[in-house]
Amino acid sequence: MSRSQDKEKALQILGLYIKRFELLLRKKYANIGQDATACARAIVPLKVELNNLAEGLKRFTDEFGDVETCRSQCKEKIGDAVIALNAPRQMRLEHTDNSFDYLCPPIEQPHHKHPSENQVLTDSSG
Amino acid sequence: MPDVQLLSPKQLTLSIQLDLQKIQPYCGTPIAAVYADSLLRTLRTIRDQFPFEPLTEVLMAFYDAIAFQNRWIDYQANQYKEVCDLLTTLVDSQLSNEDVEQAILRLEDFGFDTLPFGIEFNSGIELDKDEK
Repeated sequence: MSRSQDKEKALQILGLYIKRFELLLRKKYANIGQDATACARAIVPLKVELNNLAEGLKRFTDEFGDVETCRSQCKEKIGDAVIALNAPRQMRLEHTDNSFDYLCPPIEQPHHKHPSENQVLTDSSG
Repeated sequence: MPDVQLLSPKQLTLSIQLDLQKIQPYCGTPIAAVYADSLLRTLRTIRDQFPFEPLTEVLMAFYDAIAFQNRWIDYQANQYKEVCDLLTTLVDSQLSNEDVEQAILRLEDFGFDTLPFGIEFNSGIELDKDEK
């Protein structure tokens, strides 16, 4: 590792290792349980080409670090979390969204899920 | 100056397969070191000369698994045979990214640890316990 070309070689090897790390992480953790937050950051893909690893890695970090875009996609779920947290514990939270089925039990918030409009229409037409 | 002719990726892969065949009867013996050395040198050559070939990505996963802490000593004949057979299916193919990923996962299935540098998946995680 004394020549200028060695830096390129080292970066190439490191890039391959990162790519492999992401592959095994993605494939070996097939069951990640319920992701009630549906965090947009978690689905940022790592797409890199061997002949231009740096560009692919930079694109990934840029997208991963794009807080504004990620938050814009998580907005609704964060809103649900705030509603669940603010609800009086002595009252029952009535909802149609699935997210409250995950948000309410951990904070011991009484809740009841009603069928969605689509479900009601489907049931009544059946 | 001697006339130096560069070998193609296919020729180098065939050389790797030859070493994979030769090492099998000698696994666990000092003679295995001769073929392991040849194997590691050829793998480095293919990395240096053909860094952008999809097959190189697969071969580097294998290289890391056997080179780190001389782990080539620990692997068994049947594992080297499985890699050799895998290379037979890859060497003449136009590999997509998906093919490369599947090949690396096959190496893991054969028992090769392709991420040997201080990372251990599935350890130290107690999924059934609550955080305290």
